[in-house]
Amino acid sequence: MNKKNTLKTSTALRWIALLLAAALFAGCSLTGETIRDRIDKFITAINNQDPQGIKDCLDPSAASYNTASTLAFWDTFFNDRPYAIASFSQSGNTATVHFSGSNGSDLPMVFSMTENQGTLLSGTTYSIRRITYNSQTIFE
Amino acid sequence: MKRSILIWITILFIIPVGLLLAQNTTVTYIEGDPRIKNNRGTIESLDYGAQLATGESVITGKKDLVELDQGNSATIRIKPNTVFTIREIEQGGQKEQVLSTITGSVSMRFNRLAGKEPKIGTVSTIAGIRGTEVTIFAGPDGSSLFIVESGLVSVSAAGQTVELGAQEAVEVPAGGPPGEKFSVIGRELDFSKWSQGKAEELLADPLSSLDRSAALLAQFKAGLEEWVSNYEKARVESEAAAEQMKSMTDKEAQNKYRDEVWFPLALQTGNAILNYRYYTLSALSLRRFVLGPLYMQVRTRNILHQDGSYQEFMNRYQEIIKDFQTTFEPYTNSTDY
Repeated sequence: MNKKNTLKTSTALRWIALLLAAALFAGCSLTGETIRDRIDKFITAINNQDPQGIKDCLDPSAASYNTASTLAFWDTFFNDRPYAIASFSQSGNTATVHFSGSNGSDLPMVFSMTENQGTLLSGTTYSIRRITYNSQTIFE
Repeated sequence: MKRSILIWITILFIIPVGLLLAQNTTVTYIEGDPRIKNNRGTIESLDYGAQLATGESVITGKKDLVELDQGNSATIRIKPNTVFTIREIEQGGQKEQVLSTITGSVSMRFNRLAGKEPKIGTVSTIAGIRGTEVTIFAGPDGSSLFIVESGLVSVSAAGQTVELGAQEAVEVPAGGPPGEKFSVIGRELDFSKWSQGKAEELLADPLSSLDRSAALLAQFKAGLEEWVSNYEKARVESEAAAEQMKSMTDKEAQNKYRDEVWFPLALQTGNAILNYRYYTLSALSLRRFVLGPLYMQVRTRNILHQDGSYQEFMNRYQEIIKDFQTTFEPYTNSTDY
């Protein structure tokens, strides 16, 4: 009986290991994020008035990476806090997002994201490379 | 003494600026009390309308500004704490003028329709210009920095050439090739490599190095003040428009107002912030990578022997840091350090 249980457990563990390996091999990750996740973190940092949290969401290769890292800059565009994501659509690494402000105001923005390939365990992450509004660049 | 003369001559040749056909150079605008060092070797007040001859230098103090015109072919803006000289060289059997920034900062605008287009260059750096507005910073360690506002500049040094378009810049270390070019929109100047391997040059005359850094900080301060003022004006209008937008109940009208009124004002405000942060972070980089290491080196080398020039250096350093703290620090935040 004990031997039979041990065999069952061993087989189950093998199947789990096989599935995990297949998932990792196929590019899936246990800890990676989606573009939506990153934009969620970005708007949360803006709502929380967290300059380091905002900077962590930006692509360091953007020319304004350092100069835009000040609340005064983001508060100029996000002046109806707190914001929530009202709609989200994605095409490749570009996302079109409508934020709704506390007064119900609508703020449409397009995010171009940089895909950062991590390790098999850390997975893919994204950072914000460009933000536009009506085709005019706010940040890049 | 010989060493300081050698350094002075080296700086004269390394900090380049321009190569033009001989032209009359007239003083068309003056602020403060700038001086002219004439060919007799005497230093006098510079007068409006004066003609600057080859070999003469314009010297500006910390509140001075001078503009020179070369007919309709070039406008030269000499910023505070700058020494600017017109020299003459012979090239291809023809005498040509060389516009040299010995220390400080000069902006030049060239008219592409006014005859032969100028060249900029010396022994270490040569730049060809086509219809250009360009600013040259003479760095505290003898390096130079070219920032192109419009037109094209081809900067050559140590056998390598970099082509700069509008809103692009390149650093040229003394005696070395131009570095990687970069966009000046949004990205602050990075002084992290300016002092590498230059410690002895900086320490040869620490007070002069300090003064050159102070002159650059004065440039950044002027830029910061200009853009903070622009920001304050834009912010008031942008915030008023944002309040107006929030009070609107008709969604369609609100979105129209958002696109046509509020957003252009917000963009103007945001750009003003990026610009004043550009000057703030450039100043912070200069403090961290040029002033800080210079201070540490001078302090370490004089730990046992502290004479009058050491005290003079320390007093001047404290003065510069105090000015930095009151001017730039209010515009920094924890993410900058």
